[in-house]
Amino acid sequence: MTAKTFILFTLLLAFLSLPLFARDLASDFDAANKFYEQGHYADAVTAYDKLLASGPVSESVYFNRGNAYFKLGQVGRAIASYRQAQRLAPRDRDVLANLQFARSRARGGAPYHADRWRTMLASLTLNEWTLLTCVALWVLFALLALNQWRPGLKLSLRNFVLGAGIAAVCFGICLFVSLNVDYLTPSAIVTVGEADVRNGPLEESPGVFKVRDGTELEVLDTKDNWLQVLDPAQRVGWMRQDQVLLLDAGKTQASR
Amino acid sequence: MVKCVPQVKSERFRPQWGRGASGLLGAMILWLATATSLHATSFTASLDHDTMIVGETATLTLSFQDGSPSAIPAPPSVPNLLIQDTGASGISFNEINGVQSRIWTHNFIVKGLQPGDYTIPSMSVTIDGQLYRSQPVKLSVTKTPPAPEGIDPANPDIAFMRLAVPKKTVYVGEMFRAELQLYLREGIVRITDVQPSPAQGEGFTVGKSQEGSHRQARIGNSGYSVIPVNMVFTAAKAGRITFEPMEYSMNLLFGPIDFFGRPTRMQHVALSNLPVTIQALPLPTNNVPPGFNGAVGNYSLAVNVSPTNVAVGDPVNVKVEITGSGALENVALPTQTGWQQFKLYPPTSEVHADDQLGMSGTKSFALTAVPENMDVRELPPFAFSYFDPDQKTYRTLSHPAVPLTIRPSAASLPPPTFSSGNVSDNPPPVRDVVPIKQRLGTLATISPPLIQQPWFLALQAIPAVAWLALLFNRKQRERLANNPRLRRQKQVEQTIRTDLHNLRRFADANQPADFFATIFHLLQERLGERLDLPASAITEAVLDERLRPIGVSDDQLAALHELFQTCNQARYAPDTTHEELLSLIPKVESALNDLKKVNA
Repeated sequence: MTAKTFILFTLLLAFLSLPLFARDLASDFDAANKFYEQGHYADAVTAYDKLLASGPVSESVYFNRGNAYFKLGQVGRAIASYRQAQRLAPRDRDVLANLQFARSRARGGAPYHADRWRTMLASLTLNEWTLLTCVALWVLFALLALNQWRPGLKLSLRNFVLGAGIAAVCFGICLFVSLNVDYLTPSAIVTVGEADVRNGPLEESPGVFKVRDGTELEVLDTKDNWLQVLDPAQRVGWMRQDQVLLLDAGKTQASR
Repeated sequence: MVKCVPQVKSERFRPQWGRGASGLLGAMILWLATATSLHATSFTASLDHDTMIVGETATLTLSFQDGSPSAIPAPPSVPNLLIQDTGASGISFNEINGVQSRIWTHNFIVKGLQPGDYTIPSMSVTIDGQLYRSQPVKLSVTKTPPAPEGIDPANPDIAFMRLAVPKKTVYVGEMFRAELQLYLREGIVRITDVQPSPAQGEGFTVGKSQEGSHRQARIGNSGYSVIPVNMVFTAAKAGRITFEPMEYSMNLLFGPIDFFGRPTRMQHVALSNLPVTIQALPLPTNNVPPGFNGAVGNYSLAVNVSPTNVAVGDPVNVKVEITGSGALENVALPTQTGWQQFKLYPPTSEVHADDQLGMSGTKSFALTAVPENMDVRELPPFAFSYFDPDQKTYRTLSHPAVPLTIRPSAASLPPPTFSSGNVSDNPPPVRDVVPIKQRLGTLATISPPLIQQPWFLALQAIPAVAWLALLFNRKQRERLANNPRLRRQKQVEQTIRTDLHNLRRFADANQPADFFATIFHLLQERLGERLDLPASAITEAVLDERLRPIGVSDDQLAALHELFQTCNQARYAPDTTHEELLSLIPKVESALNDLKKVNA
């Protein structure tokens, strides 16, 4: 068998095995759902975790795991799962609805309202903002290139160039803010019933305020196994890392 | 306010010299009076110190200024004072405002025999036939303090130590002060290398210590410097408390002082005090307040509660301050009854001492209480009990209840309901999560966003690069458009490249007419471009007319002439072989390249 034949055979084998692999995942998914329907939420969580560890995933797995955590009363972990599902399917209505519901539950039933600018930013995913910015830049440079190629068109293209430039700048700003907020700034979600946030990274440090299960925090700094966090009320303090679920910036896998 | 006084002019005649004369006379009188007073004879009596201890002595000095007595007066007799003539006399001189005076002195010794306040009466003396009297002198004699225990007042040690504990009876938990006194006899210049040992004994704990202000004391006829060290103890158990001797070793330095100011003699000593015993009483067992937890001293209580308007589950900060004297470090917050509706977190505390020894100050407790339901109306009263050792009784301080306003928390609120209206516009409130998804859906690999992918970022460089390339191209075209010679040069280069290719083709096809026409054309183009002349105007004559004057070499000119002549000959004798044609091509290329360097 020549090398070429061997490579072709391997590729064919891989291609043919894909449906088998997908079929395995689907059956595992169904099995996990069965646990959920039977009310065995803890087993369902374990099964969903196993699916997520196997490699390629779908937003359905995160979504269903979020539901299982919610049923177990672990609102923080449910919010984390819904946020991970949102990153894969940002406009899935079910994901958005359950995320909103879980956030409201974390606030004791009070409805969750994000800031207007956050709502506007969240209307598109980071990749969509990226593509919009790139399209605007491509149009801008294309018009500029046309100006160079056909200098006589400079006057007539001036407004279009200006419009493309403004669009590129605006989209670029939205892209930068979205990148900073959603990906470059690590966040954490409280997963214990109630946690003390202290003045410093020591058990002896006096507590400054308390946070409850499901509170979403911004991570400012880390020291040993302590995190410096910023809560939605803009209060800063330190808490133990084992009291939160850390959503690593730049990745979409939750880690502790 | 300035008051203006009207001037009244006198009509009496005043001679002009009268004013000056009266002034001069006044000055003379003043001078004479001063001079006279400076030389006036005087007699005074004075003591070198006017307080003493029984048995101590003082010096009574009689001073005679500008006069010698005919006889020394006899010392007066004062009951309980022994006044003796020392026989010592002396003379000194003073100069004041240029006036010298002589002072003659005579001394007496005065010894106090009994405590009391005495007045040495004035004494009389005759000087130059005149009688002078001194003023009375007051003297105070106090009782001799008892010599410390174990010290012989007649022969006290050069240095010794004692522990003074004012209180002989204390209560368990009571903080009390003691003073360790180090006595150093006069003559000791300095002490060095002090090595103290800690206080030892049973039944007490040791607190802070602080050196006090040095003082002087007399024991017998010896003066001592006393260095006190204040110490704080707390009785730990009932019964006898014995303070074992503490040992201090040190070097005593004596005079005389050498040239450099250093003591010349040294003596090493190890001092220890006598043991001291006091009694520690147990706290009374009757009428003990329910919340009493062992605090002994004298205290006051302050309680601050904030905020007083909170939601269920939100913390209420309670700050308790206990101020007073006692062992504050040992004061603990008592367990409060009646706080069952609050979730309490362990309090934090800190102590601020008012003095260096820590015998008084304030201890602050920060307590967090979380109301657990809306039935809470107030923070219950706060009580603190302690035992006052001075009054020998228990006391209880209390702070009244603090009203609180407890709001329902968001978690305790029912889910929001919408007002009546169009059902389609007001969907029912969500009461549960959307059910799970039944399909796995599209599999995706978790990956970083596009903005973090290098290949994507590289792709975005394409339009910018394209624009830059076009920009550069336009600039180049504009440069060419503004520079005809450069443009012609480029065109000629292009023509030469094309025609050289054609030359080879013509040579291969053995087309001598075209071949030589092309050579001629090439020469015209190159020479025309170099000399900035139309190509059609170039002939062989131009070589000598234009190239020779600008310094083109003879060899180069000869080569060019040869090419021109070859082209001319070929017109009339076109019979040339393929090889001959090919052999000319390098010559043409060489000539064209050499012409590149020509600058007209």
